[in-house]
Amino acid sequence: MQRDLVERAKKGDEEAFDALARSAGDRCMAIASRILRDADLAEDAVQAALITAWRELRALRNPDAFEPWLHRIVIHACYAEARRRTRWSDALRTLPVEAASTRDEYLTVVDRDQLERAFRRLTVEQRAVLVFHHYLGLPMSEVALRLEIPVETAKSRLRHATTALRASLDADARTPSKERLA
Amino acid sequence: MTDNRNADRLIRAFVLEGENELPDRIYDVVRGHLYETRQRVVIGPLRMPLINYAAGIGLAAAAVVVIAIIGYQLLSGPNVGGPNPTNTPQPTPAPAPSGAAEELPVSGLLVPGTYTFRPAGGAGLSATLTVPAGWYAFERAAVLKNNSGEPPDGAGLLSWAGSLNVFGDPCQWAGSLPDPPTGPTVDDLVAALLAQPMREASAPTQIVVDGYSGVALELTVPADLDFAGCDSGEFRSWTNAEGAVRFHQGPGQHDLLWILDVNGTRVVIDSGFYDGTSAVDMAELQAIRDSIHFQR
Repeated sequence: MQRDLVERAKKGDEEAFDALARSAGDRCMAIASRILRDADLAEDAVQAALITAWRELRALRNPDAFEPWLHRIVIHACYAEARRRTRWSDALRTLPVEAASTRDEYLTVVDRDQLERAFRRLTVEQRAVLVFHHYLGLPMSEVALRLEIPVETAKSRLRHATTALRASLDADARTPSKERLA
Repeated sequence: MTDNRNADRLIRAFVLEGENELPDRIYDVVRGHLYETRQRVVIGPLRMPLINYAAGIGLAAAAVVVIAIIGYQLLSGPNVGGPNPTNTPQPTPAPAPSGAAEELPVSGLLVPGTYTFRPAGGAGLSATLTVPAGWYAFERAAVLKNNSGEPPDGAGLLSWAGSLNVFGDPCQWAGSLPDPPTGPTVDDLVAALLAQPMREASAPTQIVVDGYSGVALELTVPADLDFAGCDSGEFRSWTNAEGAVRFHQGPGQHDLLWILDVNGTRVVIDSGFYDGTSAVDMAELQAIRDSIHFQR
């Protein structure tokens, strides 16, 4: 079914591409929002990625590889979005940031705050590795393949990101929280 | 101390948090762009653009409009981007996404058309503007070409309304906000901006925009200024009651300000650009500015 849609979209069928986008859009949004930690930026990145995918679709040789190919485009859109917003981010920002739709009761407010701060200090490339490994559940060899980087680079980014996030949890002398369910 | 196993569980739980649904409006915007976005055709290692019929007509029409605007500017003198609100040519707007003006979204690439925007800090005040292709929304109050107002060639239009407090020093701005704050009238704001050091300001010009009177003023950030020497590395013009700050994106940035009295509310339309901004982008910025209509 998806293969047929890709083939039709490659021939310029806009209806087919719209159907493809709707079938893959939520997963793209999930990836982008977890990397950028901002729903508005994630929407921008996915929107840009889908338009790029339409423009570049004829370069996709294997129609069965559409989603991994699209995820790569989303990642690059996230990289661009993260860098583009660095200097505009505070001007005019008067609206409250929406809360994430998926929240884990295991995390306390303090945990989340510490991790959020540390996560924002990671490079967007390190965040992408974390999300592909933990959220998509991919082994590191597949993460490297999807992100088009050497396996050792992927492992190094994961190691650095994990170390930084662990350190953030140890950064203050918090008392163990009773809110934690473990 | 959080042991590694427990920490890894927390990290994983954190990474799994996030949005899971792409809003329908994003699909609609993407769909709107398919008709005008050229698919690339791949022939071996070479790529060439494939222009569909509808896009071809649109590009040709856009080219005619751009040439007409640029031609008019060349014929009317060197005041490109300068204050000339009452006699600038009106562009032929691209087809709107629907009959009525839609709300300018918080972010995202815009389908060419007319949108309702809400100047920052101006509760209840709204206006419409018309954008061509390639412009992005920003916080319901601004539009940016290619989502960038950055030097050396960015372009953007921002809007503000209501109280603004002008920094006494735009570079060493910490602690320089006046007390009492900048007054509420058009003249109060013009006087405060003209008094800011380091601003290369044009002479204020009386204007009438959409039936509302005000003043046009162009301010320039010094081209040789190193922002690293400013407080927090930022060059700031003003702030509003909500804490939003107009800081500038780089040395040499020009800001053409239309400061208007709209039924007793002070409105600032701020067109930001650079010497490196292309003539096409300047023409589009001017056309957007000239398309503004306040909703009464």
